[in-house]
Amino acid sequence: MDWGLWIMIAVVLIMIIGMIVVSRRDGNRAPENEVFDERQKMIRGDGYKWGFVSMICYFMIYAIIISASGHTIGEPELMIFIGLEIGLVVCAVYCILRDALIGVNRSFKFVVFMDAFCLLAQLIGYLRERANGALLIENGKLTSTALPLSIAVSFMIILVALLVRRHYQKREEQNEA
Amino acid sequence: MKNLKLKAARASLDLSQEELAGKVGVSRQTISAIEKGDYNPTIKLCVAICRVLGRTLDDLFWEEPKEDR
Repeated sequence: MDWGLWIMIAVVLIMIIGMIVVSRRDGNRAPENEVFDERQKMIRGDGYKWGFVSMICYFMIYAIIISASGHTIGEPELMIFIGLEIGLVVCAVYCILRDALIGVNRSFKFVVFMDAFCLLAQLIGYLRERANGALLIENGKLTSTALPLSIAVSFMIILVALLVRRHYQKREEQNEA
Repeated sequence: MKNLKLKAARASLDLSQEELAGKVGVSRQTISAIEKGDYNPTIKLCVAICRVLGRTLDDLFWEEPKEDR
């Protein structure tokens, strides 16, 4: 059987075990359903709006470039996925910077763990494809090999935003105390 | 405008932002935002905060209009 399938199975298993361990450990603190308070709901609404606007802007620019030059810097499915990622990252970072991504009583560590896990999984996927000889750029265009890399970058941005915001939150808490 | 009345009422009961937030079911950052004047809470949340702190809405959220000179 192909090694890739075994790696995928291992990644899924680690993910499931990690989720069970973390959710059991934080079971007393985390509610069954994630709950956002009224301020967070309002901010999340704004976050979705800015994510949507960013995505629309990206696709408009993409369409203009294609129609004007007839060329694109990457394969169509990759470019579409990057647009979706931009929307999601803008929404997530907007919510993180305003303390609205993580619900009331939800564990910060759990969110960071999941983010870091997804980041690593995508990086491993990318490195594996490169090791198998897949090209990042072919005929002057980015190939779909760049997809896991772009997803990893998205998770990296979210992770950095989470850690930076946490740093400021701790400072706020110290000032309050 | 900062809500110093809320901060004072909370401090008088020796409650941290985290503890008050837990009692009214919101995040600590929401209580912090209200105290800083960055967020105007709904009447529902105002009432919940008043109940926990044993104060009235007037005590915590009523601002006297400033007179123009």
